[in-house]
Amino acid sequence: MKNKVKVFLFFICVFFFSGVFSLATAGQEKGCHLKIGVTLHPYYSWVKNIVGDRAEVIPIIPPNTDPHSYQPTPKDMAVLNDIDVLVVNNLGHDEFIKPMLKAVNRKDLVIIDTSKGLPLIPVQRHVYAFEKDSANNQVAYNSHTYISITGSIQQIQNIARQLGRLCPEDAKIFRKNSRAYARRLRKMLANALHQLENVDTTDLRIATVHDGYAYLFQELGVEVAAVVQPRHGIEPTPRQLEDTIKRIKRAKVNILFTELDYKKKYVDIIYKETGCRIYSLSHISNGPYSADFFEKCMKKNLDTIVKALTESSSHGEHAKSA
Amino acid sequence: MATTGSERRSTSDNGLKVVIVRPLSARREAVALACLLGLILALMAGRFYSVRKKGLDASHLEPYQQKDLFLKNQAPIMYRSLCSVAGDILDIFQDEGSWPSVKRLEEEELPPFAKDFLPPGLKGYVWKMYPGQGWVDYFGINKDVGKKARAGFDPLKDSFVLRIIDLRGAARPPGPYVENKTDQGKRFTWQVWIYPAPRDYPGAQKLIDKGWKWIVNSNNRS
Repeated sequence: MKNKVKVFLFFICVFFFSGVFSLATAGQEKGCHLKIGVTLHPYYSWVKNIVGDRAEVIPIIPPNTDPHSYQPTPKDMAVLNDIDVLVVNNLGHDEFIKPMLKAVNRKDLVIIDTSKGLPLIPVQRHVYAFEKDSANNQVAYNSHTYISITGSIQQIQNIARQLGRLCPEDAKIFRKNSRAYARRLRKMLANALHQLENVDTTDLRIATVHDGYAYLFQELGVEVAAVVQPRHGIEPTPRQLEDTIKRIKRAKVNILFTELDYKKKYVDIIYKETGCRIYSLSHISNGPYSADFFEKCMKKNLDTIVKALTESSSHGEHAKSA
Repeated sequence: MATTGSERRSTSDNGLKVVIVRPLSARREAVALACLLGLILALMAGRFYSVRKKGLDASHLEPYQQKDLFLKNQAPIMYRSLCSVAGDILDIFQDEGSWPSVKRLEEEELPPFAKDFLPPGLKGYVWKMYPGQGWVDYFGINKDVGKKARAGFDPLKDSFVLRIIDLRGAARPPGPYVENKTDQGKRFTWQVWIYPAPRDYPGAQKLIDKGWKWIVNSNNRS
């Protein structure tokens, strides 16, 4: 009888401890499964690469919507009410989120400011403007911190670190994932730098239609001579187009980088009037949401820059001038 | 006869009335306008002073500090690179418990220690690690300075020190540092120091004495 009781107790213990163990394992596998909102397309790719399937990444604005012209809907407000963390630019590129945050008034929502502590470029090279909404932030900075590799990696590390603090059981995984992702991004930069190594850019005068690419050109060691149209995301009026053409001529630009959504008719007019070579870069803030969207866009941008500088320096411009 | 305020009547010795008529003037309006302009100017001056004072407070620098906005040539690229790699070094330190060597950082393909990720003017940097008790210095000097500059190759002259400090380390850090009072859980802080020429490592304690500048991030939003 005693033996039967012992066997019974033994099985009870085995059953109890295996139950506890399996619960603990399940907890570990599950993690804290945060719901992370993002305001811009690159942040979706970054966070998705950091968390993998350990958290849910939710874009605030719908796919294929331009953040410059975005208007919030009740559905988007509901998303904002449902998330645990929100990843923001906070330098002026996602201004739409401020009134939305004010409207939902959530004290418990954790905000990750991707640009905090990042070395920034002042808007249009030492042109300072006092910001009206923040006493601490009186200099206007270039908000396109995500159109770069080195700057993006620093932001990805910041996000991974902060998510790790919120979810310590997944911190190591986030760190590992972010390092692997950073390595892939760096390879792209190294590849572009390698191709540009022997390109003679001495006679090249490069301009962009807006200053969103300043971080990218800086890390490539390429000097931008002029920004010919500081505002973007808007269709130029005939007067603005005329002004753009005048600026290109004045700055003696021979390569102009426009945006992918810059209309062909304007590109044709500029080419006809100035004769400068025109290439298009992605602003990475409009399109579908996917883990590889940022990588694809950056690769395309780097390839375009390499192609533009190589063509213009080796045979193009020199042959033309000869 | 009706009189206006600008007329004055008096009687002369011979009994004739003398009427002095002053020319029409807008003195009162002019005075009022001048007062208004003065008030506007005073308000503008007050506003300018208050804004300027705030700006100066925010950008207050010690003599051994320099703002990142005013870095020249390719120094911003190196600064960004060092800021970015600091996070990786901390991750390795936390995973392995010791500061990674320069060789290890090269193997990890981390710029500026791995040169493939830098423009030609920065590829000549040679790095050395100087670890201390609770801190580490990574010192970099460009060995390409002196080589003839050519198109696309303009070696940066500046020397750099990346200093990472473990705030919970055993010893006091070798120089000034900012203690983050708002983030008590913060364990590490890092600094980038610059000297505008190729110079040997001056020793951890002597950066300020030897004229090195601590690059301060202008984006110090807290």
